[in-house]
Amino acid sequence: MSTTPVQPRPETGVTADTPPSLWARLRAGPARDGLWAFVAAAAGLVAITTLGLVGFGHMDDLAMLYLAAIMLAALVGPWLALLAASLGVLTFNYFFMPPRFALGIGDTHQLATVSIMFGAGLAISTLTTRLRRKERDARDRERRTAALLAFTRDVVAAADVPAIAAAAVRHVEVIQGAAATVLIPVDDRLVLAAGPSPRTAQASDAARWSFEHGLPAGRGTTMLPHAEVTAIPLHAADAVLGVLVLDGSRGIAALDLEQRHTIDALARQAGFAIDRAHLAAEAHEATLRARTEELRSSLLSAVSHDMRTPLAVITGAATSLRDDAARVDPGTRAELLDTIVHEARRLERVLQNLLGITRVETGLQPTREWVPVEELCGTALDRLADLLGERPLTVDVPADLLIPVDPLLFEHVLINLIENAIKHGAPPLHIAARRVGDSVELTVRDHGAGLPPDCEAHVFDKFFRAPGSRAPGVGLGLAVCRGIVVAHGGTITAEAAEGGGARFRVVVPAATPPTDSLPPLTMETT
Amino acid sequence: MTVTTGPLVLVVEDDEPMRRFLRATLLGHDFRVVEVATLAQAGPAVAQAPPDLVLLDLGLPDGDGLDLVRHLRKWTQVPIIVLSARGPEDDKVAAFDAGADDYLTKPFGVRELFARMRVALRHRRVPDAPDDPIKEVGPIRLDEARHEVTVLGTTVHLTPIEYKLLAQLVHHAGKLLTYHNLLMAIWGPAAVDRVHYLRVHMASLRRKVEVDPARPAWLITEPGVGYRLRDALR
Repeated sequence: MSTTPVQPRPETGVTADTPPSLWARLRAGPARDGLWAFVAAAAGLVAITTLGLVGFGHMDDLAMLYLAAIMLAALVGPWLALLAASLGVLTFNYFFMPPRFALGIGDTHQLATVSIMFGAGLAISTLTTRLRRKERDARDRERRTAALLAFTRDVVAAADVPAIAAAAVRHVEVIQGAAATVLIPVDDRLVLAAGPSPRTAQASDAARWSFEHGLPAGRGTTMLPHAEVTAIPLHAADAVLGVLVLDGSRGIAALDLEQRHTIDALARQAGFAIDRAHLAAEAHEATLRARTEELRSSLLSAVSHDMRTPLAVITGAATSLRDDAARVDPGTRAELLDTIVHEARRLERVLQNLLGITRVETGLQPTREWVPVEELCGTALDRLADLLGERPLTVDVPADLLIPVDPLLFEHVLINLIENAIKHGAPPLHIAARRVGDSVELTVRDHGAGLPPDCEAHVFDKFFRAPGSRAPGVGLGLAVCRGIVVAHGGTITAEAAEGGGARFRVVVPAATPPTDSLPPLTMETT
Repeated sequence: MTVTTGPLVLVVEDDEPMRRFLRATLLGHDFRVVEVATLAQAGPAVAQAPPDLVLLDLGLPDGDGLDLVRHLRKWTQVPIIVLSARGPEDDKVAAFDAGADDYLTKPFGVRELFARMRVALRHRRVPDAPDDPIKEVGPIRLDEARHEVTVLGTTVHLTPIEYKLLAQLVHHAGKLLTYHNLLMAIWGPAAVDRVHYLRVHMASLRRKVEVDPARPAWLITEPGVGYRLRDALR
């Protein structure tokens, strides 16, 4: 019937598969078709009349021809059928019924002829109209179903409430051919989720009323019927989760029943979709909360143990020095003082890792700088000087090897790896680094008993402690290492080293070391 | 408590145990001590009895200690050593930018504290000693008249940049020189953000000066802030 091109809506991505709005079809299509049909029917009547006038055929045959023309016209539309029937009856009566060239019905036979012509036209046009309406209904239903299906498809794909709102606005606009808006409540206020914002206070009032009462408001309803919009609540099972506002001022005075049904169905779906999105978000939040809670409680128990131990040693040693000063010989005294210092440093490292894991857990944005690996090793070893003591240690790092990392964070990685080797491994320790393709590889190995079997994958887990390990620690150090290395886009692995001991390997991408030339000196040495 | 005539130290610190520790330690080493607990008290204290050195805690109840540094720097060059429990190194850089002379992160040992105080006091009394062309720090001997550097009596050959770098550190032995200080002194303002130049030259300088460049004994890195030549009198 209609060939009106679909108005493309590039911003929504809905184009060819969307039917044109009913309104547009009603306006453009039938008017044009009707004009052509009218011209055709008129031409037919003129032709039949001319044929009769030049003396072709009997009067009864001409009656049949008129009837045929009326029936054809009736196929096009009811109004045209009436028009054709009236014109046909009048022309036939005027030109061919005796007395010819005068209007008037002389006998019952003529009355019957005219009545049959007129009646047949009416009957056929009624039938056609009914048929056509059924056909249109079927097409509308189909289009409505298609629109709802498309909406469902979009809503399933929508990740959150704004996406659902946007889909609803897009599809409602297609169905009704005018702008639509979705408002959702935030802290008891209705805020714009998609579409243009309501332009008048009346529109806002209608939306507000609809949201608060869970009933439609505005144009076409009994509440605020003079508003230029219609507000439809988006219901979930037991709450109103938003309002769909249909802008009626752009041409559509009131929605017809079909559109109304479609939009109601769409509003119901949108309500359920928003409800589902809320539930999903809540579930996600609950999981996060639970995980945070779990982390907090395990941190608390692990840390309180790990801080209490050195604190106990410090308290014991210090009180011994204070209260038993007379009985403590100089050798023991020096030992106790060393213990206090040593345990205090240990406490500090526990704290460092605690801060480290917090930073890693909350998302780390390292600031990368090209740093000589040797310098990183230097600062790490300097920090661990007390713990290292006289342990044999070799460092095999090329002088010109640079690595693009956050120097402070990477120093932390090295400190933890070396401390781990001291606590769980045995000397000599060996630190090495080299360039491998587009990466820098850094290894720390010891010559101890190596990793317990099947632990390689788990040593970097938070709170992981090797079974039977007697060394003190919370099990955070290596987890912090992994967090920092991963934040740099690198990898960290643990493996058994050939000849015994464990080797930890850090690989960090380091594609293009700076090669630009040095700036000249400001002044030559004097 | 004995009356001493040692340098006067102003301690600005709100934590009572920390003040007690500093007081006991400083008095034990013949310093005179004035203590205040707030920023508001610090200004008048400096004006009333000009100290030889300020030990300043950054986290004070009535404001940011860095404001005091900026305030004092308007009219006095008294050495200021910042003591802070804060971790992130940005704070250190901010402290140096504000005009602090040095920075100690809590917890610190007394030996470290006295080393920093000694350096700060020395650089105050002797702004620079340009008259003597020969300077020695530990095993390092710098002869500025002859442009010669020896380490443990052996001559080492430095590039002009390495020489300038070492000379800067020797002139300020024991004092922390920020990346910014060093880049300005060696390359000038155009290069102040090119820290990796400095790192590369420091790495090669260490190769020539240090016995084990991976565990430097003299050319110390202050991560994220700068470099320091270890004070010989540690």
